[in-house]
Amino acid sequence: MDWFHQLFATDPDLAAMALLFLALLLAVTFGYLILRQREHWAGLPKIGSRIQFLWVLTTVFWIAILVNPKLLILYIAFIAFLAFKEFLSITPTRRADRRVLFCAYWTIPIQFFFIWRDWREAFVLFMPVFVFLILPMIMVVVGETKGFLRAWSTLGWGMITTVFSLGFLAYLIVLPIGTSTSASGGGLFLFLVGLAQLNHAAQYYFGKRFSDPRLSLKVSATRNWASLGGSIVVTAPVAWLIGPSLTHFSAPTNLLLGLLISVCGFIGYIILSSIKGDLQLKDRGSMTPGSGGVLNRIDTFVYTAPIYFYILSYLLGEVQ
Amino acid sequence: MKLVQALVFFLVVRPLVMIVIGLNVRGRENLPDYGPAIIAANHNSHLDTLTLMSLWPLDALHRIHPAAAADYFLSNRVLAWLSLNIMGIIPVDRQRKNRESDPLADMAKILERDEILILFPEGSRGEPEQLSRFKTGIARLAERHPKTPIIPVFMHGLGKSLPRGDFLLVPFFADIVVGQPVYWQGSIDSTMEAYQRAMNELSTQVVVPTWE
Repeated sequence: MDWFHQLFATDPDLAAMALLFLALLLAVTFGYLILRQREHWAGLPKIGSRIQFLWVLTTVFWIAILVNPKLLILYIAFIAFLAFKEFLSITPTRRADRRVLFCAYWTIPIQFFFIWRDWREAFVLFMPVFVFLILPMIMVVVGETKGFLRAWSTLGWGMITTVFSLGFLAYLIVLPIGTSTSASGGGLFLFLVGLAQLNHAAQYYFGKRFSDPRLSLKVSATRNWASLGGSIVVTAPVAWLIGPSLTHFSAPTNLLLGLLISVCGFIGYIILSSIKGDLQLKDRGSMTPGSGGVLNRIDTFVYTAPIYFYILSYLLGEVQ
Repeated sequence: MKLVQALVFFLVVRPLVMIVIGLNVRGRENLPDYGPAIIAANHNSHLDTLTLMSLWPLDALHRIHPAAAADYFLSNRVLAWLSLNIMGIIPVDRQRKNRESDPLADMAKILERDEILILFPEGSRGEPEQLSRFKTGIARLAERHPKTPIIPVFMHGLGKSLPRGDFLLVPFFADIVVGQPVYWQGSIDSTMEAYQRAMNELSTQVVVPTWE
């Protein structure tokens, strides 16, 4: 229990919050188990797999804050690998591009190495500049010119939405923290991930509760404008409530961050939804290669993580 | 239980199959732990056999025997040792120099010992991710052992990860659909037809993005 005492001594707020989240997750899991006993509702397996994912994430998070926060970087790198693999598995690819895809996988260790070492410039530039320069070149040299634009657009989009976006989530762990705020990388991470999950649940609830056709979106049966409105109403106040212990920013800033997590989470969901719709994967459920898997779990971070990261680095820079 | 085989599967094959490649398995409950049974799958990649075998618990592995071409898998000492001891293959003589010998005898023996035989009725891996014509060996085995279930397995994705003639492994998720058993139908043709129908039905359960 030494580690635990140490955590409480160095960052009591984070420890308390992490315990609170753990208690919440326990409560949700019990609720889910009871529901599963009593009801046969089609949505339950989906919720079950999300709860399972949250337990893994929570376990890794606890080990990370107790032992070494950088373990989270490795874990997120692994999720990025799974998400990228899932993306490649559900989109059309060309056989001629096997070597290009092989190289594309190697961007993951490189990108997360930059994060591990806290090389901010390299991290930010590597994907959009170097990878977008070199991979298309390899594609032209070893691949085929027929269908090039489509193949490269798909691959580039896949790398940006999985590897690059999740990198920002991992970078929170090593973000240099100014002296005038006692926020820690773990706290910033927990703030984002916790609110994103809450936001996801709120979007689902409000989408079901207010399923007025005038509010509906073409892309999704469960998400509409009521989801967006409702989730903001839930997420922003909670951000304001838990912000003081996790981010240590002022109340308006926490509210703004909550709003941002809500809006960007919504955008991420509907965009990945429309990709799945385009690939005609939506009505096939678990019958699709690796779907219902990782991409569904990370959609909420695709836009949230980079924007959250830039606002934080602006705020932290100014605080310093 | 063969310890070396179980260890290799636990330390090398399973991490490779479950993490690097990643499986999406449906109908796992249709795979029996005990024979006699014939597992008949389509063949796209060198990864097929190992991936299929990793679906069984470690203590059932020694009962699983894939039929594999002797001219290829016994071609050198290292490969022969791995094939015989780790994969537990039943060597099949594709050339059949000795016309009198019974090509199915070794496979039949496996079924008589109540063990499980893995067969790829397409014969060779062929063009990746395309079904080629099935050979009738499974039906001929079923004729001799009419009570033995033939379990159709459709796989997709491994041929993308490691196609024929390529050594570079590029990870893609793989789909495996295990179907209901097919039995001897009274003639070779009708048994093959039943198997073909089952495979076609299984293949419709998988979404296949274009790959050319």
